[in-house]
Amino acid sequence: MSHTHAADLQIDSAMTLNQVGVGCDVRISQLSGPGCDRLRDLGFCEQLLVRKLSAGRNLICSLCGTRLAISRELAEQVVVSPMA
Amino acid sequence: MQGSSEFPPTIALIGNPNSGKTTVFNALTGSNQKVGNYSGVTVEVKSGQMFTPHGKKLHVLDLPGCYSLRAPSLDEKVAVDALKGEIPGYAKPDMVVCVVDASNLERHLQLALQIIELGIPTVLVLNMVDMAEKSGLRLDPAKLSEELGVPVVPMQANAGKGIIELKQALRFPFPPTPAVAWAAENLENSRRALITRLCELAARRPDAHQLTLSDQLDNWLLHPVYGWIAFLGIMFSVFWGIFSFARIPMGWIEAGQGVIANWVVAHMADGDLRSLLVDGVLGGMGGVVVFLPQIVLLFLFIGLLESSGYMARAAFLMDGVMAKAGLSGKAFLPLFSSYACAIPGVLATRTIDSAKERLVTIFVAPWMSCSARLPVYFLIVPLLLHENEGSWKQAMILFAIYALGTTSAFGVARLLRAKLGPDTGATHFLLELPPYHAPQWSYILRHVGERAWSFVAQAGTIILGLSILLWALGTYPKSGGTKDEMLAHSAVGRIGSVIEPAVKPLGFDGRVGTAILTSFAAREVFNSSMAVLFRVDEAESDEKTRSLLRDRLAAAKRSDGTPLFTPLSLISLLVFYIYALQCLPTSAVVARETGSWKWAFRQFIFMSGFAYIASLIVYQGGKLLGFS
Amino acid sequence: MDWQTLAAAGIVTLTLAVFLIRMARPRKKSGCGHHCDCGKK
Repeated sequence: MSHTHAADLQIDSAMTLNQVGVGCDVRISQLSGPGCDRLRDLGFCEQLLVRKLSAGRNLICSLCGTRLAISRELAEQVVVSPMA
Repeated sequence: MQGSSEFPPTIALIGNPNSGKTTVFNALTGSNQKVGNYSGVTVEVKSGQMFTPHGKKLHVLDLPGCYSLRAPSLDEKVAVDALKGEIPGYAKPDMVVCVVDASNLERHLQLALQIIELGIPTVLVLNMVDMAEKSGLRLDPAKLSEELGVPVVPMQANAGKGIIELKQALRFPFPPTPAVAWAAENLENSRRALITRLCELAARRPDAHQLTLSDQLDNWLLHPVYGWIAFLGIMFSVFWGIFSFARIPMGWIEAGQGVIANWVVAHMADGDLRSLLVDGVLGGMGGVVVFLPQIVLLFLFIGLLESSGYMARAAFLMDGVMAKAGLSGKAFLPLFSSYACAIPGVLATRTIDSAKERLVTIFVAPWMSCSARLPVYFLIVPLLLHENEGSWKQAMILFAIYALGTTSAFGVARLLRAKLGPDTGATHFLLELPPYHAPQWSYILRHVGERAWSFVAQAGTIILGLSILLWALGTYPKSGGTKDEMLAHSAVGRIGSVIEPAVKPLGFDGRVGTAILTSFAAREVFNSSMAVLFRVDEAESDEKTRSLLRDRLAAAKRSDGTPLFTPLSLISLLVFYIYALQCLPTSAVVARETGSWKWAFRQFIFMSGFAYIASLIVYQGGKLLGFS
Repeated sequence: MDWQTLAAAGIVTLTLAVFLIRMARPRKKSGCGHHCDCGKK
């Protein structure tokens, strides 16, 4: 699935949710990978703010006031950018 | 026109998990509901009735919670099928009530939009508005309704607020299907754009992240060290609670049984009917009903853990451990429930996304030592010990029994998971951690009541029938002589002598073999069979009967005069009971949940075969090593 | 033969008959194979 608007992101600011430090607030810029439909269903949508609460085997993040635990493979598919 | 005057129109409740959908359902239907189980593919849909303010009767369906209509998990597929009217016995819903958590519009509106796109008349319920407003969210239902083209009802279902408004929105005839204004070329993108716009318009959030009480609790309960301490403490308390609290009502049940049995004995002349009533019906059913308190308590504790939000944390913590068995954290709850009874455990596997993982979990669930094995363990374990040995040794043996079952289950799960290969579709560990809240007692108690009732109903039908037939097998064909000779002459006695060669290598004789055979439909029957086969008269309580039986067993001899039960043959018997799948209801549920008898049959053959071979190895290996 | 023997034999026969009948007949789908009407009981 392609998302054309992702192109307007600065390349060097793009990282996945796995690379974000614990406690950081980031904005989801793109979802890419086989799990992205499922992620969307759970509310991981472009432009939404996420706070990463813990790292590890599965990471916990807070999205719109809800805590979600997702596996590292899924988190790898969430491309985020730092908050402006 | 749909829902013509003949049948009441059907409305379906749908929503994300944790949106409070079931609370809305209970508030709408009151006690007027029932749980339906449908053969074929698993379906568990609740249905009930309600009346609109104008007295129109409506039929309400409570569908399983789902995140989307794309449906990777079985629960979600059921919901989608119900919406399409593809579940036999249920009409296609004439209207959908979509319940969303008002604090989570960004996420829950995804599903709402997908439903509106289906073209079924929809009412949107914004549930838990109190929580949303407390967190500072400014909601604008009128604006939302205008944008989506469907009625929007703010609600606080757990306090009964907004029920009247919802009922008014369900006025018949239903409003026409809304036009889908956002259907553009790329539906995904336009949906997302709409949700972002709606949330900006109708649900303004003051600050994206506040550290709530739940966050603070999670800092401790999901901590890599303290989290595990809390987890182990909670699990230990649950088990301890089940076994220690259940003892009291179990005593009452046993005492009640004794009173009834004595009354029958006192008021009836000796004869076949009295024997049937006392030994067959009371003995057989009593042995099963006595577990009711344990089952009730287990469901109560699981309900509490789930309702308070802790169960999701337990699944999160256990994910790493379960991964070693090739499973995920979602398999934790089903396997944990199976310590009480494999049936609710198997049913709980529905929340597992991956079909193969679900199958593996169902396959190994009966090896988590269920509570029906306990009476057998309690009969055998004390025989292994000398009288003056403390109860801590007994506890150690019990612990070893549980550990053996569990580790074997994990080992088999790992092998089977590897054999089945990876999933065809991508599935990942994904879990919502709902905020902690006080348990909803009314819901938990209702659920416990349902389970308790279905257990009692089963004891009153299938187990009653089996007890009567078992009694008949031990009585007919009749002959004169002593009780011993009569038994040897009966069908059970003959079966015993036929199967003796098969069980001898395990260290048992024909009588034990027969008791094992009779317990294949329900393993707790073993105790009553042993009591019948070793001629123990019913004492006033089960505990007394058990200790009488124990004395009798300790004194039992083989035909060559050596003692029948040596430590080695007892361990062999224990091992057999740890592994054998002796529970007809479990097999029936497995067949239903996997969609065919094939897996139930395989599971039965595998587990029983494994039990036999394991016992054989223990007994013969032990003998070779010089144990007796 | 006293009445107890007869009564016991009768109960056993009845139980056996019920089991056999239930096994032989495929289970009906919760009493509602067709449309609607499920909640009416």
